[in-house]
Amino acid sequence: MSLHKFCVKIFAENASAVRLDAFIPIYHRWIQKQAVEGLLVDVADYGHLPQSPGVMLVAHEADYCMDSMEGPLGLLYNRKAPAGGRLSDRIAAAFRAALGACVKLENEPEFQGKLRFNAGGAVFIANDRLLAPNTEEAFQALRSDLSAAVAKVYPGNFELRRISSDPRSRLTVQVGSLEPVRDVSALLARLS
Amino acid sequence: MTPSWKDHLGDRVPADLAREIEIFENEIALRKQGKIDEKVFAETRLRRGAYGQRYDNGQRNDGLRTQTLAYPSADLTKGPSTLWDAPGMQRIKIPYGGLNPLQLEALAECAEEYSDGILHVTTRQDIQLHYVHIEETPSLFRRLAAVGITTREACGNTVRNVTGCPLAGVCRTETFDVTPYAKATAKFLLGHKDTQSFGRKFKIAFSGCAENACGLAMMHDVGAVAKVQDGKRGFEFFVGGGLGSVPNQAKLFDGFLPEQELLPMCQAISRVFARLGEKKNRNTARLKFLVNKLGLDEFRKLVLEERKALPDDPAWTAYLKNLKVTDEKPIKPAKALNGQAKPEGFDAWLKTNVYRQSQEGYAVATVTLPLGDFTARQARALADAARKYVGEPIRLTVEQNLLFRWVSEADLPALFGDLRAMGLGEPGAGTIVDITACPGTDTCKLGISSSRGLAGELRTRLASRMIAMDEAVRGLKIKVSGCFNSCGQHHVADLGFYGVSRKKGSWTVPHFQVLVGGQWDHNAGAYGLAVIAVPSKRIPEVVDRMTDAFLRERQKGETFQGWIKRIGKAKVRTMLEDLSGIPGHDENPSFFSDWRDPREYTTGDMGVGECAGEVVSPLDFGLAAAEREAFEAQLTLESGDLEKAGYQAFHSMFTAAKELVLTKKPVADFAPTVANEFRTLFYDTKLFWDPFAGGKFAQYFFHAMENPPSRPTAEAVHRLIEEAQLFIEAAHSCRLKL
Repeated sequence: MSLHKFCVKIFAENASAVRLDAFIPIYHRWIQKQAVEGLLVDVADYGHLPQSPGVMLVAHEADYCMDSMEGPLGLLYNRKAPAGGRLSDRIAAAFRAALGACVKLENEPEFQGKLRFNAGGAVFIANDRLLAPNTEEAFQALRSDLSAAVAKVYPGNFELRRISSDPRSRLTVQVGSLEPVRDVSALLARLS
Repeated sequence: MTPSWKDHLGDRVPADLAREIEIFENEIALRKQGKIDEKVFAETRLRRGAYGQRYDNGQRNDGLRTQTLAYPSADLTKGPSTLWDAPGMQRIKIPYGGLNPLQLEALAECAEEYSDGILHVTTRQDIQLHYVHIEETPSLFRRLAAVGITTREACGNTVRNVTGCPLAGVCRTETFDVTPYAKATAKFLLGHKDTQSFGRKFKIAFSGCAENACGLAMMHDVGAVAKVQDGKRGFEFFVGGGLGSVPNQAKLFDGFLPEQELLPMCQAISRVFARLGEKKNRNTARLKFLVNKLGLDEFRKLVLEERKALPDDPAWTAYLKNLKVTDEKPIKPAKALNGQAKPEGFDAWLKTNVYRQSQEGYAVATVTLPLGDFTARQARALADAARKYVGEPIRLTVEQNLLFRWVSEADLPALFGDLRAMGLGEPGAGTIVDITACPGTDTCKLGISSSRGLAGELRTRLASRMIAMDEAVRGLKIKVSGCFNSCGQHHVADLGFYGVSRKKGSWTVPHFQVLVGGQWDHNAGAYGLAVIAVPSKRIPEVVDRMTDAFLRERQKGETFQGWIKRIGKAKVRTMLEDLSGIPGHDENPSFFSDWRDPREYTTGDMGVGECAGEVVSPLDFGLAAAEREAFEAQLTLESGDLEKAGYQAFHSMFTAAKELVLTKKPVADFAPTVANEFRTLFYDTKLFWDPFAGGKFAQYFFHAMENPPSRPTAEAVHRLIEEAQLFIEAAHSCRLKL
């Protein structure tokens, strides 16, 4: 599958302890310091909308959102630009970028250690209805590449479960570790 | 072979649109090969609605310094100073704001896959998507075309989206339903050969009645207001209106234009505009300038001559045989709201968001969209709700909301429950919390201050006080633009704001001009004027102070506009004067950044010297004097002394120009000398030029100098004051460059 556009979302554990406003200065700082990978362009603020992409760090290759549109609050990495390599490698790279942002956010002084991400699972969204419509066939076609990537994050045991069969929605897969995982830093270390 | 939307959609894309899109796809390829000039490509993409976006020149100040955005396509451009890979805005025309659920779902898919998942409703009933890459637009176009949406002529020098009253067909006060006429006009003029060589954009609006504002006919190039005469349908037909930097009230072209003359008259006007409208100077190229230049009578004469010469076209009247084509059929029987269980919050929502239709037992429900935004997921949920309660009919409004029409009244509690579940059950539609705002500095290249940031802040503050708010204040309208161009329609609000900047020492401070006296009713019947510039961070205090004073001082039955008129703008200015001050940077650094943007509001590389915050130059004093003179001109205008007001407005420009010249050399206090020196030192050198408007503002001064008004009309003086204010704003901008 030649899928290039997809998202990886890592959920926050204690969303109620976090104010969306706090992400605005953080993302601006990241742009100043070029703190995460990609050509960082701007910060978009949708904090006025409930269940939305929240506050978004827009980059040329991918966006980083504190998203509550795709389930509870979490860091959503939305890969937009085509990248080289096999699909499994591209997906693994997206996991690495998402986890890297999560680790950085956990260490930002604004949160004083209150922001923690759930290392036990993630969501993968294929953001291309032409190549990967929300069908069982497309899920099966994607499974091997997605499994190969996820195996790098959770080398022990994991499960992939398709969420929602609404044909209008994007193909969305719940990724869950079947073994305990310490934290997102540990996951990131596996991909580094 | 990689699948493509072109193959996948096949003949679901109408042939004419398919061809259009294919041509554009080829033009993209040719531009990438350098075989199309960047200016030509820019107009080409604009005519497909593909706009530029802030920072697309590859430069962005991050608050510390200006960073270069090194995109992969390097120097390849999609227009002058517009980099190929820089994200852009896609405007999507929705004629008269009419949508169906299938179209809403297609828009949602495009928002997710090509944009940032957000759909933004504009003040002209369009949808905009942001952060779109130019190379994805052909697929986006095809997916929209497959559900009957075209982006063709959404931007560029074309007939833009034809807007219409969103209550058309269900309104209690309309003369007749203007929907089929708006639809026919949009269809007839789209891609018409007579609309392809305008010097500037051309906007048309339809209204069902003269009293209510929904269509805003008076602020359009062509405004048609439904009218019946001798039992026959037609329109009060207006021309030459427009907002922009200097707003113009439309003029009555024909008190009754019969319905069969609507399309040929639009065509005749298009031909005259294309033939005689300004082509070189885009700042004077709108139809309003042509009407003013020729005079209404001469313009009318030329149009009527053109009309006579037009070859007959069956399309002019074909649609009249089936005006019911846009009629909507409810899917639920009419049933009164009577005894149904009401969810919490329902009564407040009912009061502000529900309009009882002319058809008994049915209502229009307004979905309040915060800042005109909704998410792709919400769009799908709205499509589901539309199918469940009303079937097809959805409309977008110029107040950036969305309407469900034909809701059986008995279904209102259930609909409210569904909207609340999707996070769209907020009350307050059409009230002071339902603030209109253009994109401003968030994404617009022209934005000076953060209109959305301010609107969001005001909305949050006011919403928390809604329950205890007096009715008279609750009904006020606030509209915010990020610059003088008026996309947020600040001229027709009770309280309007547009973004400007001011210097404090070597710091630049975001401000908003405060406008009062605007009128939303009567199809945008009067335009407000700026009374004072206030730092952005003090605008909430402006709103509080103005609304408190209104409540305290208003007389029985007095409107906000009536109150402003009675107390006069001088008192308004006095009331707000102390808020115009800027604290020192050390004292309150928050004034030096904009709403919801922590970056220092500077040009990025400006050094800060000792005591910089306290230095006030003679030029600053001079520009303040010019502002004061422009304000005094307003007061004189209010008093009815038109000649004096006109002179004061001109003199305020003279003062600002003289102060600028004085920064370079001594100059006599004599207008022709100052004008000559100003031209040489600031106009010819382009020092005074606005990056987007060019020399337009300087030309206001030169024009006033060369054409002193004899026996001026109130409208002409009003316009001169507007021009003087813009000239002074340009002088402030120029001051930043000195």
